[in-house]
Amino acid sequence: MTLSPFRFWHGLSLAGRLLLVLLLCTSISTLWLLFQQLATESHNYSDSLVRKTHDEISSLAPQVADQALIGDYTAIQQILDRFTVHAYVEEAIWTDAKGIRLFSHTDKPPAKIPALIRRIMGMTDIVEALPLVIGGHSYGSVSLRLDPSEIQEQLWRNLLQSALGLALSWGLQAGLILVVLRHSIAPLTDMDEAVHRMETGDLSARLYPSGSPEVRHLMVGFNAMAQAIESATHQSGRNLAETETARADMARFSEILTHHMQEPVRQIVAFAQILQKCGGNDPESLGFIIDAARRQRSLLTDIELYLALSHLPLANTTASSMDAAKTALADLAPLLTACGGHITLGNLPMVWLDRQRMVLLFKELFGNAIEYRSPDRTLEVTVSAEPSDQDGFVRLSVADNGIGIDRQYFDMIFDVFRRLHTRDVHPGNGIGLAAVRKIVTMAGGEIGLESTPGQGTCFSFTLPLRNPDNGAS
Amino acid sequence: MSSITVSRRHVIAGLAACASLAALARPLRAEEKTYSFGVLNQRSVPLIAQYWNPILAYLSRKAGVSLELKVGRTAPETTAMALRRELDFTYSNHLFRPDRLGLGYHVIAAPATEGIRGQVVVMADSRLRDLSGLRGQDVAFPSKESFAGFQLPMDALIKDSIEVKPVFAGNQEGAMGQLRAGRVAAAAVNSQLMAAFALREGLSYRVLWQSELFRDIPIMANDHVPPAMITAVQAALIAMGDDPEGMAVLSQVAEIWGINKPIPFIRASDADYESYRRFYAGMSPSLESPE
Repeated sequence: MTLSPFRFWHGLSLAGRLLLVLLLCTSISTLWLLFQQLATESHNYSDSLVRKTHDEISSLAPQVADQALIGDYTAIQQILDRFTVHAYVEEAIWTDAKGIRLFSHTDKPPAKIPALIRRIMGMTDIVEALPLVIGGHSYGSVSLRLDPSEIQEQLWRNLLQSALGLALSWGLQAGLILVVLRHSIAPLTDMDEAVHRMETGDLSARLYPSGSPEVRHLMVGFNAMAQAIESATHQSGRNLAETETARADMARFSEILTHHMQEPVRQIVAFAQILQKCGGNDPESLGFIIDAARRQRSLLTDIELYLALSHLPLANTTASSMDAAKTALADLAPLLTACGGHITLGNLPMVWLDRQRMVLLFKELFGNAIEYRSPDRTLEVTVSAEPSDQDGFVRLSVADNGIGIDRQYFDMIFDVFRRLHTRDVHPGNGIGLAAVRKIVTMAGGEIGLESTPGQGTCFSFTLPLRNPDNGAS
Repeated sequence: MSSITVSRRHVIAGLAACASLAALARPLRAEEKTYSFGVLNQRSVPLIAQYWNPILAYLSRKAGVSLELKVGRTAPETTAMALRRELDFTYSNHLFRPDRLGLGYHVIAAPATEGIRGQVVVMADSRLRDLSGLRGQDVAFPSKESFAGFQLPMDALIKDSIEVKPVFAGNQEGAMGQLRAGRVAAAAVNSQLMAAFALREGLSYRVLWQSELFRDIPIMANDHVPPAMITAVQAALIAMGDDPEGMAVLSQVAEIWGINKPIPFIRASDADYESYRRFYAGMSPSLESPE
């Protein structure tokens, strides 16, 4: 299986592509510069070698001439031998006027350099000859051959060192760039995951701003967008719940209209007919008619109250639940005094609910406790607050020692106009707890109860500590 | 056809005649010998060559005798060549000692100068005023062979009982260089060379002692050289001063040596150098052997 360049490129990440392009560009340009420098240095060294050759032969010529004048060939040979020890000098030759030739040669090992590099250097042996003429008389000539192998090797070593340094530099650059890119891309990956979570319905996905400034800015924007979506979704959920509640209410109201509201009307009609038959002189029938009319009015008042809850403006700030409980307590003080009961308020917090609804909520719960108190003992009601499992909410509890409720009625008691006792035993239309549930659910909270028949009931509900549509406290 | 045959015969005869002439000419060319011309080391070897090579080239052309410069590393070496009779011609005044008269060298010419003196010189700013101040001092000499630079001044020092520490410099200009460098208190020199050196190098010096005047160094020929050759060389030498070409050569080499004017050659003979022989006759016995 072969990996074509196109597939390799296609499989590279953005960071890899950037890095590869950067490395390729810098490698090509730096290699070009290195070879340019090598060619220039070689040229300079060649010039230098030419000058050195000239200097060497200028030094050699008079020494050989002195000995040629005397005819000391041994001394000339020694001089030539001394010169071939000099750096770069490969061959020194003296040829006299008659053609006699003395020479000294040193085998310089050829430079171990690749042929391409050697061609770029373009250095060749430097040969210079100088005739020896003194007073017009020729004493032959001297010639020198200088070999650039040592210079070539030095330049080659320099090139290798430069290339090694550059390779290290490239590696370091690549490593650092990779680290920077990874560090920069990691937040983008987190963002991708967060988007995926939101796609799958987890609207709580948020990002901790990290990475480069522009990425952090993007993440802050994402968080704001996610918050807005979550708020809108929550609002939509609440609207849906309210719609559902309204629909249930409407169904309930239909039932009321068909049953509860018609019952007094039928009673009025029936007793009005009796009253008509007896010439209008039947005080008992008249009393039934008046009683039915009163119940009709009471029902209408409670329906009005229940419906009004939906039209009260929602909270735009926090309010003290303690103050609301105290107000409700004050309103019910005559009833409480009459029954000899006692309500204890714990440390109640500030909550995100308008004061009017909160007073109504406590008033209904306290009234319920008073109404369903046990005849065997003095009423004791305790109001307390504790942290809720629901983030940003507090759980409030109103516990009494009343007659209690059977478990089978736990859900039923919150329905509108649902009653567990006859009106003769416990007066009322059965709308109070329905109103309490509506207040709590409109605030985004939940309500429930625990009760043991004969021992007491504890209503507990959650209320937001802050605006649930905004994560900030 | 016959005419062609006759022509071929003539051509062959002509070629044979040419070949015969060439065969005859070859021994004559083989006899063309190069004669060695020794020059006493008064200056460095290259300076000697720069001066004498143009002169020898001129003489070779004019006299029809091939002359080649031959010089030793030092004056004693060159003199040793003469003593071995390796030199056909020589420019030297080392051969007038009684024991060297039998070597066969005879004077044929001499430079046209007033002559030479042996001198003991010091730098112009030296505190030394006479030879007695040199007692125990380092004095530079060219070599023991040098007539003007050693034998004349050393004879005078010995006769005045002044013992000095001799420092041999190899040649005349070597001794002068030692003096200029301050390595010796005085130098014994050839008056003519000293004057030329001082002029060339801008040196100021003072003469503590000088000898009587002697004829300048002669050019001698050995008697194993064919007389015709000697005569030809002698004639060319003497005529050089009258020949514009010769004077041009002399002017050129005089400039190299820093001499004011060119020095031509005049005819001379052994008799002109009687003063040398007189000196050797009265020379201090301790100087008789140059070794």
